[in-house]
Amino acid sequence: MARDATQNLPQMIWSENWLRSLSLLGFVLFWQVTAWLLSSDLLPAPTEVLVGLWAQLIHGELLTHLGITLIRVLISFLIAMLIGVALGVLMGRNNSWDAGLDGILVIGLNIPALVTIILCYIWFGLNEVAAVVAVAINKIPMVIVTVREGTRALDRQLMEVAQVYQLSRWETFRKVYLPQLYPYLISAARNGLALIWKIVLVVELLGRSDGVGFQLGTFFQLFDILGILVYTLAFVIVILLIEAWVMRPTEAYLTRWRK
Amino acid sequence: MNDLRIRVEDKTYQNTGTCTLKDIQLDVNPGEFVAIVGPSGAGKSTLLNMVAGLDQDFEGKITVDNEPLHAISPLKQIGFMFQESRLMPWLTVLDNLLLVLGKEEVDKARELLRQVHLTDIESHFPGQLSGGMQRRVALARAFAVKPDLLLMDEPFMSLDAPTAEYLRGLLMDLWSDTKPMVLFVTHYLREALALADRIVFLSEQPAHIVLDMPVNLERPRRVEDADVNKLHAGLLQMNPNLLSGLVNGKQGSEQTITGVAS
Repeated sequence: MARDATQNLPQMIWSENWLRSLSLLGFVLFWQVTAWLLSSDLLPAPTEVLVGLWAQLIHGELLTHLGITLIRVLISFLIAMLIGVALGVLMGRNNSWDAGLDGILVIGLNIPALVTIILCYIWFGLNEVAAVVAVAINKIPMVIVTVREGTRALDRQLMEVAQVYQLSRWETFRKVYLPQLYPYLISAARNGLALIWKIVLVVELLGRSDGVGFQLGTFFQLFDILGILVYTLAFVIVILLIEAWVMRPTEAYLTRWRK
Repeated sequence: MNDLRIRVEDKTYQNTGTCTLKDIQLDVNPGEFVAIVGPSGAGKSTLLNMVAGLDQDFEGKITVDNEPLHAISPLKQIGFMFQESRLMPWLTVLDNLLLVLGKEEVDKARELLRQVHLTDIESHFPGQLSGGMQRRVALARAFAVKPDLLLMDEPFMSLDAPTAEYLRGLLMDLWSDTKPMVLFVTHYLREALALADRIVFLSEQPAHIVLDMPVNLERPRRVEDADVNKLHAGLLQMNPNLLSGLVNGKQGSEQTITGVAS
């Protein structure tokens, strides 16, 4: 039974990839035709955007700004995951902590991102720390909710095995506890990254003088639509690469036993 | 590890208030294979969990050589085979054994897999194995720790008859090598007769011991052997309600049915 599934898997992935490319291609084609029909500065064609991207890669500052944004994303992502997982496990395991922090968690989940960003800038100044903290604060509640869910779903029977066979705390954590949380951690990481991309740009727009968000703000003031699309395209490419080369292989590796 | 003494005065679940076990006195001699038989819901699993140290909320004590079982240092090795295989689904078969053995003991793990006839699947994940094969891995794991005491909670119940018979054979092979004390919970009397040196019958809740009986049949035995059949029939003839936890005559007294057993 299991063997059939493994044999069909590459084929399935292949046809899925094909569908994915097909829909993207359709989208680009639609865009190209519309741009061609409108022939307006407000909608540059995909070909123009590609040329613009190439020019930016060779002469422009795109890579610098993209790099700065990526570093902000990475740092706030790590902070948010670390704090979120710690609090999520704590609240999932311990009822008093759960009751004590639940109210704050609900506020955290519902406060608009813009409010936290503005408040962070006002309280901590227009600096890097405020920017990263603002992003992390927006993300932490979601991580907590997901991880708390995972901690509550832990299989007590397997914990009993660890207890009877006198596994060390470290072994129990690594081999019995953590693997049960992987699906939740992956889901938290995925959703988190998607959220962070968006919030980082707003943070940069509002209070930083570099990064993709700042550049987009400048283009907006200049009505440079080509610039906006070039930066967007670069950004999207990076996200897709991270998804394909980091997120999906990690997930496949961690859940390989399910096949 | 010498004689195990189980003394349970009272086990009551706090949340429901039901008294599950009452006045249980059970001594197990070194190397003895004891089967615990009783109606379902009698508290047999609870008793095993208490011996395993998973449930410490009861009145009474469980000692080895007059010392509390779970306070002796170094701690006694206990092997536990549950109703479910309870392997870690994200670890390969080999890694599941190494988890309890320590990661250097690859040779030992492979030797155990050989003893349960599972040499070529060491890198499979449990989800890729049949129920019977998963039990064989769980059996190997239970013996991996060189247990002084082996606890088995209806480990072969959900298997088909030939697979269960095969696993009972493997269990007997492994057990006769090292002879740990065994507490084997089952509600299948023939299985108890085929495996044990001694059978302890429990009543319904609150469970106490209604009959403590030696089984003096030659090994190896199988559930369908004539001797097992005869003993099975004799027991049920004398005590038609034995499997519901009732014996004839004074309930709760210990009878010896040497006449039938020999």
